[in-house]
Amino acid sequence: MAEAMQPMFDAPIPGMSLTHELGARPWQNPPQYNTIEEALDYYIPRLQSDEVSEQLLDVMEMGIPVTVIANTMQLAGVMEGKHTIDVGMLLLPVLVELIMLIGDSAKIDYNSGLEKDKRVRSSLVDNAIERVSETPDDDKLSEEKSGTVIKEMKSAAEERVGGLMSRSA
Amino acid sequence: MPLNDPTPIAHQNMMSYMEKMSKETKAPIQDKGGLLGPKKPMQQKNNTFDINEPRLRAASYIEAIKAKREELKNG
Repeated sequence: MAEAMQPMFDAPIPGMSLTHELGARPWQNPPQYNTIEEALDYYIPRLQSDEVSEQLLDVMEMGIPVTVIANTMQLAGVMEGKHTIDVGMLLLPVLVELIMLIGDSAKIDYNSGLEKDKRVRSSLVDNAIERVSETPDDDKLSEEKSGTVIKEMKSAAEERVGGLMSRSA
Repeated sequence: MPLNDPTPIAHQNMMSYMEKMSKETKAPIQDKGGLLGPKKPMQQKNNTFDINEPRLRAASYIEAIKAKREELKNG
């Protein structure tokens, strides 16, 4: 908790991206692979290699979502200047399916990261309980208020002797 | 909340696009007009496979991979 409260000084400062000359970074140059097909030709052999697939399966067994793995892979490709971020976005679903295919063929349990989070957060439960516990009190208050109003109205009616057109005392 | 991982959204969008495409291709062609009427309205969308559209190509790859996954699941 204390760590989370501390400011992150290791983050890039504003304008840090402009400290290098234009074109010095890989992603500022023309990409190596221009189309989805070319980019897939780069990714598929890598994913199929024994070394990478073993590491991939280890990471999947650890419970890391497939979506996170795919996003990390395509982001690394963009940073290395392999392809543009546009091609990366188009590649994402293909990479997800490919990684899931590898996981299925290895028969391991993995987290796809595509399922909606059905867990109910404890803070939401606390909030709901608080609201439910507050509601009867409000009702009681309103009942009490309405009760006093009715009594006042009855007493005012009893005090009135005549009809509407009668002379007031 | 910052968007850290666009993958689920990209995947969902692609799946809905594929679903839409499959519905469009399965829809029966309605024959409108008489004998001399045009077979296709002038402004009707061209549903043929457009090689120049990257999303369509990506969808075809996903379909192929999905079929492979189904094969694996069904044995």
